[in-house]
Order: sequence, then structure tokens, then C-alpha cells
Amino acid sequence: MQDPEFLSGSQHTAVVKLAVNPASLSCSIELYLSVDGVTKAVTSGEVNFLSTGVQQSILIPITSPLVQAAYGVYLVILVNDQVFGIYKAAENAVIGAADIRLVSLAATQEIHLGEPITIYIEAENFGTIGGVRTFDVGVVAGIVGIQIISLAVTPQVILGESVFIDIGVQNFGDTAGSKTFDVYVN
Amino acid sequence: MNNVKVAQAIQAGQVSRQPIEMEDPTFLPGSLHTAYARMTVSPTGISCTIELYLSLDGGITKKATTTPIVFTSTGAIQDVTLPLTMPAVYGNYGVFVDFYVAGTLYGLYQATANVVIPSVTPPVITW
Repeated sequence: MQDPEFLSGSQHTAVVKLAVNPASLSCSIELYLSVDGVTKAVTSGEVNFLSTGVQQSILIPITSPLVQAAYGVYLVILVNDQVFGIYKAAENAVIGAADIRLVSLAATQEIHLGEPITIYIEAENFGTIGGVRTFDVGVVAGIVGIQIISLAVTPQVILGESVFIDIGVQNFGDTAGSKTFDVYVN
Repeated sequence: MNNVKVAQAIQAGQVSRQPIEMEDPTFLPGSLHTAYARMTVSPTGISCTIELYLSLDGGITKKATTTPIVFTSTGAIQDVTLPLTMPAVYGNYGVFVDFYVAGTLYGLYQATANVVIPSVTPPVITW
């Protein structure tokens, strides 16, 4: 399986399937991520459950680390408060970050009176993982009366792909003209 | 007396196992634990032998044993230390004690509770 990749600081739930025999034993699982196998970068803490004697799925919520790295995924299983085993997953959890930037902008538009048009700006993700970034659009200069009427400025940008952000504008003024828009990155 | 002969003697009604009070412990496979057998053997100075073992078939096959541990009676209450490495295999094991005094079988005992060795399948993680 490919190493799972997570956005730093994001919430995830690991599903651990296992069977503990016999039934009704007091058990717990701790899942933690570690680069060196010793220092826990993040941990789920102990998640308690009762054994059923058959395969069961234990849900382990965890928040991914903030620092980008490939983390080993470790499980500690306790049975009746005794460490039954410590396991390391075959795959690492890779913590990446989105790096979404504007790559093109056609921001100076000639807008005829009464005709709505759409301005396109393009954003691309140069990071290591998909993510979301919010862009603000503002007016720099131009004739009075041209206003933004629709805006989709929070794109979900998949890794290695780019998206176009549509900005609808319309001239509500008395004369045709141009207006310059600028895009700000939060 | 070997275990098969003990079992045959029990079956023939020549001897019987007496119950011993014990908690119901769960131990990890292969872990080392020490049982303490508290008893009084009188008079003092007698050579005694005690063996504790775990079995899945009523005491015939020993899955883990302390081997016979020799001690000398004190004529007062004494604790005999019985270290035992647990079986590696999952199971619900009966706990048996054979006790000899001066080389003669004195008593056969079985604990009122079993030792449980749990098992855990290798966990699988999905996200």
C-alpha cells in the first residue's frame, strides 16, 4: 500500500481491525506517530475497549503532526493493563503541506456597459499534498460602476493540478470602461 | 509418580485433587510470573517437593511447569516461591499442584480458577 499522506494538523480516524481472545477482556490501544520510534510526535492516547473474541474494528481518532515528515505508525496494545504487543505499520504516515499560488491573472478587463463578464484567475498547487487556500479579490483602479457580482475564491487544489477561479463582474455605470482587479492571498 | 499414573490413580478413585483458592489471572504469553504457595508442614525439617503446572487436559499434559521445587518444612506457615513461565499459546489453562512429603505423594490440588493466556491477531490499520 502507498504511504498515506495527510495535511499537517488535520483530523483523521484510523480503523484498527483485530481479534482478541477470549471475550470480555479489558483492552486498550494507543496509536502514535514517531520519526524515531521513541518520541511520540502525536498520540491518540489510550482508547479502551472490551474484547469480543472475534474480529472487531476499533476507531482511533488522531490529529496529524504539524511538522512535515514521514512518520512511523505505531500501535501499543494492552490486555488487562499489560503490554501485549507493540506494532509498527508497514507504511509511514507522510505529513505534507499544500502550497497554492496564483499562476496567472487576467485582471484588467474592458467591460461594456450592462454586460456581465467573468474574469479567470488560475491557482496551482506546488506543495506535497492537496489543500485549500482562500484568495481575496479587490479593486485597484478603474471606472466607477464596475462591481464584482460573484466570486469563488476558496479553491480545493489537488496536488500537481491547477484550478481556475471565476470572478464575475458587471458594469453598472454609465459608460463602458476597464477596471483592474488584484488578487490577494490570505 | 508421573502424570499419567497420577491421572490413572485419580480415575481409579485412589486419590483425588483438592481445590485451591486462587484469583482468576490473565497473563501474557511467555511472561514470567511467580506463584506463592502458603502452607504449613509439620514437623520441621522434612524434605518436601512441590510442583505447579498448567494444563489444558486436566493435568495430564503439562504445558508449563515450575519443575519440582524442593524445600524443607519449618513447622510454621511458610511461602514457597514457584516461578513459572507462561505458555506461549492462547488458552484457558487449569492450574495444578502436586505435593510430596519425604518422597511420598501427599496431595494433588487444582486451583478453583484457571489461568487465561490471551491472543491478539496482528492488527490491520486503515485510514
